Amino acid sequence: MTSMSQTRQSNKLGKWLYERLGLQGIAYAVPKHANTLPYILGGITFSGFIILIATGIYLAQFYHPHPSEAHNSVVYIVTGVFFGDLVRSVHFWTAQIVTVTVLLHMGRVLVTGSFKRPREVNWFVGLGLLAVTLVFVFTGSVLKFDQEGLEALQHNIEGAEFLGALGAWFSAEFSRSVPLLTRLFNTHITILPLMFGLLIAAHVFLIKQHGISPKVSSDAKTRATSGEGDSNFSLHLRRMAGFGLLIFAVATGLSLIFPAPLGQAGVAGAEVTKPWWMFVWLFPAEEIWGVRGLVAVPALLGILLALVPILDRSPYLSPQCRKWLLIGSAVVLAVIIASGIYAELQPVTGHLE
Amino acid sequence: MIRQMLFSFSIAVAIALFPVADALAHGEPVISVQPSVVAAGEQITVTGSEMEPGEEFAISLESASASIPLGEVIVTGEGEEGNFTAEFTIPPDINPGSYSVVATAEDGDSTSADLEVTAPSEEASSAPAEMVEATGEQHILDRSKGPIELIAAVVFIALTAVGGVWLVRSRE
Repeated sequence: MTSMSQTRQSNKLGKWLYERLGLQGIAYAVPKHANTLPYILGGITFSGFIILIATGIYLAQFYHPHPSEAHNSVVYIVTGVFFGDLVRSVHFWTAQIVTVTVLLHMGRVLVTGSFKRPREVNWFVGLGLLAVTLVFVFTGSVLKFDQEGLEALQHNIEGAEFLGALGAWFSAEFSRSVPLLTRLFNTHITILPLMFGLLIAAHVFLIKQHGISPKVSSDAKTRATSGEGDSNFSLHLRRMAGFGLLIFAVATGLSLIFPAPLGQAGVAGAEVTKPWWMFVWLFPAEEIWGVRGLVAVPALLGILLALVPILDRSPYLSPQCRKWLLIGSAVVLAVIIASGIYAELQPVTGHLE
Repeated sequence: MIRQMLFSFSIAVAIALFPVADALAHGEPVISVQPSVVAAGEQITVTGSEMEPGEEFAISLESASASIPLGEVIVTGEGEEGNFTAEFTIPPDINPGSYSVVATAEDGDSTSADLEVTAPSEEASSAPAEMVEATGEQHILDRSKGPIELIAAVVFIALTAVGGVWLVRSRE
């Protein structure tokens, strides 16, 4: 904490902000290893979300969330809005990068045993954030309402029908006055950001309560480390902001070279596209079990992830001491990757009923 | 005291339930359409409820420029609760766009639900979006950037990259 105080005093702006905003309320002790890339992936993801919120607010000024206008409004964003194509593409690429960093962050937590006592609840909060991120991506892919978006929406409807009462909210019948597309847009810009805000606040609160998990060594054991740290929070924030700016630069560069895709206006009932990489691995499951596979496989994966802190309760952090869990996780990951590669290589086939 | 509380509670329950009972007894006819987005030539299912058994409804597809009769249905049911479910085929040569499915009773009263009709299924494509110029010319969206946008983007990339590296390399 001493080094935090020194940094606070080190520049006037920092001191001013610290005094006015009460930043000590969110600051937590930071050990040196928490400023390395693997341990800062969560912070990088958060920085990416700030870019997504900023670009999303701009796009929302021009997007029309009605089935008859949605695709045309995206075409207008691309062709008629000042910096519209670039901002939309930065939004798209940042979403891709954030999905990668979320998954890498979860992988790091899994490998380094950072979910262990007393951090189990924060693992569940993290799973909630993963789910929110994926729903963000899914709803975002529907909104453009091209052929790929419309097919995603139709899969959403079929999944909702399969779930019956549990899926009622996701069905078109839920509201007679508002189209499902409009409700998914509302979800994308109100419900999901609210859930994200609440979950991220809980995530940071629990990090502050328990401290950053200890550095992994052959005999390291899990324990609460709140208040322990030989680095400082200010440096931690600067690194997060720095990586956030680098994401912005990379996403803008990619946007110039590969603008965010937009297909032709969707035709209902047809199936001629494949979903994005985050969902394409579900294709083989859909081929085998139909819509049941689309609902059951992600649910099973979620249950397996939720079981991680229950299955691995030993105090040791070293991967050497936790081989079975990590081998099991690697097998699941290999199956997902193999399914994704298989799905990418297969011709598109219709599954919709 | 207890009697007064029970009386107040009964009044509150009666007030709370009254509008519900009223709505159930004299609800306005409503229809819903599934799916709400359909390709031309495909089928829709129209469901009606809150109707009187035996009542006849003419179902049509309406837009600002077209009125297409789809068929007629007779409400079934007992007592005051009537409903219907019927399937109709959207004409294959209809123009894609926003329509209303309208159910019109014999006395002229009508109720409607939104329906979005897309192009026929065989026209589905994963190809990039196209746009139509005012001249009627159709071409794939031009994604190239003008010089101002390009310069602004490159400057922005340079600034964020330099700022990012500087912050990432900052020390305690």
